[in-house]
Amino acid sequence: MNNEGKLVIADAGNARIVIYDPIANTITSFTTPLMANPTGVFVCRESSAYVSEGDIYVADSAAGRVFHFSADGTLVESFGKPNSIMYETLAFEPEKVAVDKAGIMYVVSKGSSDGVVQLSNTGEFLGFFSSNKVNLTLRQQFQQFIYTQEQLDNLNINLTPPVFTSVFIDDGGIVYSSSSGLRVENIKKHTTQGTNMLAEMYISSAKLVDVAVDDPGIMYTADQSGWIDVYTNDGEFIYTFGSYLDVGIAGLFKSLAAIAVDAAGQIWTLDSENSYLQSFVPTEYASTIYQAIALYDETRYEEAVELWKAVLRLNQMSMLAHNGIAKNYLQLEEYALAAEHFEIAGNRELYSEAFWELRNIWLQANLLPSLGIILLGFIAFAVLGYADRKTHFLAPVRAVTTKITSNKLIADVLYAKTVAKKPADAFYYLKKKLHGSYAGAIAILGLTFGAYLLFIAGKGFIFQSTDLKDMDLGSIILGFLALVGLFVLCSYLVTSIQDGEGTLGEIFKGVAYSMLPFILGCVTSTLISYVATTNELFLLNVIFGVGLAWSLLLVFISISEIQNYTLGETIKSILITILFLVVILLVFAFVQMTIKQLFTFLIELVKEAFRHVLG
Amino acid sequence: MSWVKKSLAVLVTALSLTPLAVSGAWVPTARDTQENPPALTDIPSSDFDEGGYAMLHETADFVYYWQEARDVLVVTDKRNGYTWKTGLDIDPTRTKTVQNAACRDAKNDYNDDLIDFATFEALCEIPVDSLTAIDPAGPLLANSLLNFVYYKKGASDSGYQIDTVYSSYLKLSLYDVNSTLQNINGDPTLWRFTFDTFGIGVDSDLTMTIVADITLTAGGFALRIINDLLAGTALPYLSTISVAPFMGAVGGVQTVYTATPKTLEDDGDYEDESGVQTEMIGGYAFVPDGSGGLIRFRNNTVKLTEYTAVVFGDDPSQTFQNYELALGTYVPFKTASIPVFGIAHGNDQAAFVAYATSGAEYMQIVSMPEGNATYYNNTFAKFKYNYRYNRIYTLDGDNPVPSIGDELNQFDAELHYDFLSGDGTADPYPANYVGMALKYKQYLMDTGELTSIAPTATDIGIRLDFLMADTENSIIGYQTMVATAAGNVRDILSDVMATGITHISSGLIGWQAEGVTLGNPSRAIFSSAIGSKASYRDLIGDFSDLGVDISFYQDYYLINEQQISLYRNASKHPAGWYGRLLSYEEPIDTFFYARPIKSAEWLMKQANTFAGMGVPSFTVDGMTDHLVTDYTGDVTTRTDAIILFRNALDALSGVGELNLTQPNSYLFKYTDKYLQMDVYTTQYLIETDTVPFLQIVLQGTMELYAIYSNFSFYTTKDMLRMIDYNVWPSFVLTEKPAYVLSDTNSSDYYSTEYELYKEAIETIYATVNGALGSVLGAAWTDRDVVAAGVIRNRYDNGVTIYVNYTDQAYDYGAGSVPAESYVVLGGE
Repeated sequence: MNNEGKLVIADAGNARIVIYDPIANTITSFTTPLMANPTGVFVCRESSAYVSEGDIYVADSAAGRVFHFSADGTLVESFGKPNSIMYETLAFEPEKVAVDKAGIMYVVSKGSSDGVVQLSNTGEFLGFFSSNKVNLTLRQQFQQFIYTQEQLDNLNINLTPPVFTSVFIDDGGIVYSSSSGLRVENIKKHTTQGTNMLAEMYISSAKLVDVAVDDPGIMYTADQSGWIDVYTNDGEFIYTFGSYLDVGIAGLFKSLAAIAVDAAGQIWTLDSENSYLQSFVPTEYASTIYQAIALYDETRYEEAVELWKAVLRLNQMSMLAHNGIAKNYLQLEEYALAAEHFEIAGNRELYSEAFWELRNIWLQANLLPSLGIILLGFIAFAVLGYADRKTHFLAPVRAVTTKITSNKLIADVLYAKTVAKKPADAFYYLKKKLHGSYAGAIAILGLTFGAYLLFIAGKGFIFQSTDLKDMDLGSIILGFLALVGLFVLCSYLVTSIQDGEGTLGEIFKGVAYSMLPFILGCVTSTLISYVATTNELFLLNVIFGVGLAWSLLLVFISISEIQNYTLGETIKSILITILFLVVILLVFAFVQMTIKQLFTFLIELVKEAFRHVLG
Repeated sequence: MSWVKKSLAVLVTALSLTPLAVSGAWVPTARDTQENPPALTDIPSSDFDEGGYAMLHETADFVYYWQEARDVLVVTDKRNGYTWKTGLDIDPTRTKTVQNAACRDAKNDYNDDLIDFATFEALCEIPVDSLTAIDPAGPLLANSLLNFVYYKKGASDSGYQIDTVYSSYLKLSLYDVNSTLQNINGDPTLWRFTFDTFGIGVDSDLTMTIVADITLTAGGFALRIINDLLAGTALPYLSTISVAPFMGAVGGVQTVYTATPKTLEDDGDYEDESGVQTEMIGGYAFVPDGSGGLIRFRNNTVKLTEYTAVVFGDDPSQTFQNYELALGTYVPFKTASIPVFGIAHGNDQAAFVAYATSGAEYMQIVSMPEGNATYYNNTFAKFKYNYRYNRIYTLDGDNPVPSIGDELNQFDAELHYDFLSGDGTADPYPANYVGMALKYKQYLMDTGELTSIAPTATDIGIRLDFLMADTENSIIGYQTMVATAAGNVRDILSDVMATGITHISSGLIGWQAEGVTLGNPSRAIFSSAIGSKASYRDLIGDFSDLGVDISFYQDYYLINEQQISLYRNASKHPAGWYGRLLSYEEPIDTFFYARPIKSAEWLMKQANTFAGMGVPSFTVDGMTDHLVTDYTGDVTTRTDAIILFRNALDALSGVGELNLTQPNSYLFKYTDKYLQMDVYTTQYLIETDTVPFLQIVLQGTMELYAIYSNFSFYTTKDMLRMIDYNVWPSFVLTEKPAYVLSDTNSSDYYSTEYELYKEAIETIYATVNGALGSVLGAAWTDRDVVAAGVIRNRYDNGVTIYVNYTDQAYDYGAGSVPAESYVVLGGE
């Protein structure tokens, strides 16, 4: 799109450049004898010492050249393959081109995975501006690690980085590029060194073929399958539309090939297989979003909030709008409102920031009084203790607590405290049935499950990444019971052939009574999660980790004590138990799959019989 | 952002994405109606007493001829002198080879002075149509009154390849056809067309007979393909029959010959030039896409895809495999709810409208753009008899086996062609889409399918539906999210009535326990959280006294396994499994189609409960615009389903009023309120205009309510469109913000909170009522585009409404219509 509002189109099939005036609905065209298959054009929007306004650069892969035309279609110069030793072995088949004010050309060469070719204004090779990385899945990385070259060759893992598909330069000289591949860094907004400025972002489409950016910096990408995705200037996904469907209906595409945006925010698209142009005007919804983003960039936060609220009226489910409102409130230091909207938008990172500020404010206001209250509490406690020692006025209370703790079950449960403190002796007494009981063990396991459930489902918003309603209670219960039950069983089976002295029940009790630190870890970290921010994530992890490690250590000691094993025997026994557990789980998964298939088969058989017999 | 949010964002965007509108001047798009097409300056006349034409009959308005060799029925409209032919009437023997030889011989005779130059010109300069030049079947296709498509390998084919046989008999080696026209009982208006085919199929051993009775009517003619007389060994493999595919076709590419006289130096000679585009005439085809679309005749520079509409919507059992994927994130395509199409030539000069009076449920309407298969714009109807599907043996559908239906669809296909002439001064039917609509309306009124209604109020109505509740996932099962409770409905309606709006009707969506998606359509289970039976009864009763109609909304078509048992309730696909709709929605992503017999049964059952609660009306969705063939036991065909639905609604119409969502034409008779009326087309790229055809047909016979204004249908231009299209406003409301339902299947209702729409309800109602309030009870007689973007609607009470969509005032002589506004003239 040139400054006169005309579209400059590379007509590859007819080897020409077409200039289309959408208002007058007229076209003009020009070409040059060397032109063979032009696929990319770039129009210079400002004059400089090196380029003039309206100059048109054309990338032609079949001709292997970049052509430079003046605005009236006169060929100024053309650039072929650069004469550089570094470029000697590489093909030069320009598909797309963009040019900065210094006349430096950024060329996407067909199929080149080396990166965007940077050429000087005289056509000399300056280097590769940016390159893409190979993105391997975890499994592929593992395979890379352990497989031989031959095995890797057989696997046919694509180690070629995704190819660049287009390049664009905005009026501020920022270079953008699009690539086709996995949904990782498909759109890049480059620094002058070529690195990507966009943080990790949600990318809606994979097979990007083109990118365009409007004056305020909103990015529009075109996916070959007909999807047009729109992102904010810092890479936040706004919306997507279009689709692949070859039915000749407006708004759908057979092969989306190029995208451009004009000053009014209209999106222009080309369908290369159906040979037509489609344009889209922004809706009230879209333009309000754009304006709100622009106001935020201009630090006009209060006005931006109002616009985002207007967006919310149009779509009360817009997470983007809540996020936008919250970001502005954050700048306006309205932290409570910011936190409220970040929570609706599910933005944990910035919610944490707002929450940190809120907590800070609270602490500033309440730190001294709180410390005062705590101090008073300590003094009161000491005074009460002193008075009690003198007058025994708390004796009735003590009698009640003693009565409660002397309850068999409660006493059995509380024995876990002793286990945690003095495990070696405690497990011995447990084994000898001097303390603890099955009922106590079951109660402790119940508490463990409750604490675990609290930890995975009840944390504060910042740390609770999975919504409660998206959890499956059944599989959590099943998973917990299966893990504990199988461990106890496997341990029993393993130890019974390793001269172990413990019975199944003793192992069960040992494991259950080891869980107190884990329970405390879960509960404490869950409680802290309500007052912590992401900065204190480490603290949470440490508390949970210590609880878990302590419990595991207790399990270890319980096996050692109950089975009367040496250190080496215990380690060996536990390792074999874990191995056994894994094998059982694998076998179980396999059997379950087979049974499920058999079950489905039988069900379908019955259903089919019903259908045919009963109709 | 989850995919749900993403798709919502898309929906919001896509719903209101409009094609190019260059800022400033008014640029009409295919969503508008453009000015009339150019007039035909010279109307060609032929001498039908020669050239193999036999006159069949003559009436006051028409003369009918039959071209036996080419199989063409010719109708000359005496009112305007215009001649319509059921085929292009191309001489199939005049190929390029023949014409080249003719030119060569004429040239030689001329150079030998045996003939003069004028004779040379007359003999040589006869253009040859590209259909003849390229493909020997070309003229057959273009001339034939009927053609049929069949699975050519019969039972021996695993892939079911198709082939086409044309009734126009040119003795080619392709197959043997014998088609004849014979009079019936000496009645000059009754003729029987018999189309016999021998030696078809890959082994040339199959036969086929199609018999069509042609009645020459007062308005034109009617053609009926008689089901009982279909015969032949190829019959089980019959796929479709097309009727007069090139009637009214425009365009074409020819090879033209130019003779040059001899000079002193040179002999006389001739030149030929191929690919010469025939001059395109003004005019358009009308197709029943959404509210109605026009496809203007034009030469296309690129190959565009045709428009194909399955009348009354796709049949999931016959169109799709055993599952159907819900549409992507674009605006849903519109259904053809009436079996009508038409073609107009020139500017209010000559037109015909064609409508099915039988077999509409198996009808398809096709409009081919110029530059596609042929170089003609042609629009026609075809009827579907058999279908191809994949027989599958596992739920995953692995290793499907292609099959065709065991039984043909059984129906008589009858199409009426009525011809229109002039600009509407001589009769009420101008030769344009308005005349077509009025003619079709007249047919529906004559057959009792439509009857005029008297206005019940002095103001227009407004539809305020309430979205009550829906379910979302929970850690254990599902939980119901309530967006509006019965008490809220009372508050909101009272609030609206306080503004002076009283002509209100409301449907309660998701009124049942578990809300929209899991509420059981076969029962009526009330929940106190949403509304108890008593609270609903009071609500309905109290507002009924105030003249407000509150009813329960129910979809009786799409069901899911979590809502109701599929056994004996869900329709079966011919593949043997329940037909499925995969929706990608959450929490319920798989839907099934209720058996038509169950839809009707559930409707009656629930209606019985509702009637006991004193509802003044019933609001029905799903079964009103969908027809599925059910292969459970004894097959329930689309025809059976229509009868079931008509009977059910007929019984209900005596109990209360019926509010039907986008009903197909077979339910018009029972519709009191038409809900969710489309005001756009699907926007096929070949469509050039959108017109209120359906609205013209139905205006004055039922209350017409537009699509919900909540969703990008609230701007000034949208209000003008309601006025222009004669539809009344409607909203869907909730008391709580819409995001309460964001994790439910109702998440596509993305903006519904009453507080947000309070003002819009008042403004939109006042604006639309300001115009349409003056035409209550009046008949809409004409609609024309007086200038780009300015519409004039005329009514029989003398009121004229000018609607100006442009940003410039329009001067209509006695005054002017302000930019983006309307004026009402005349009347009381």
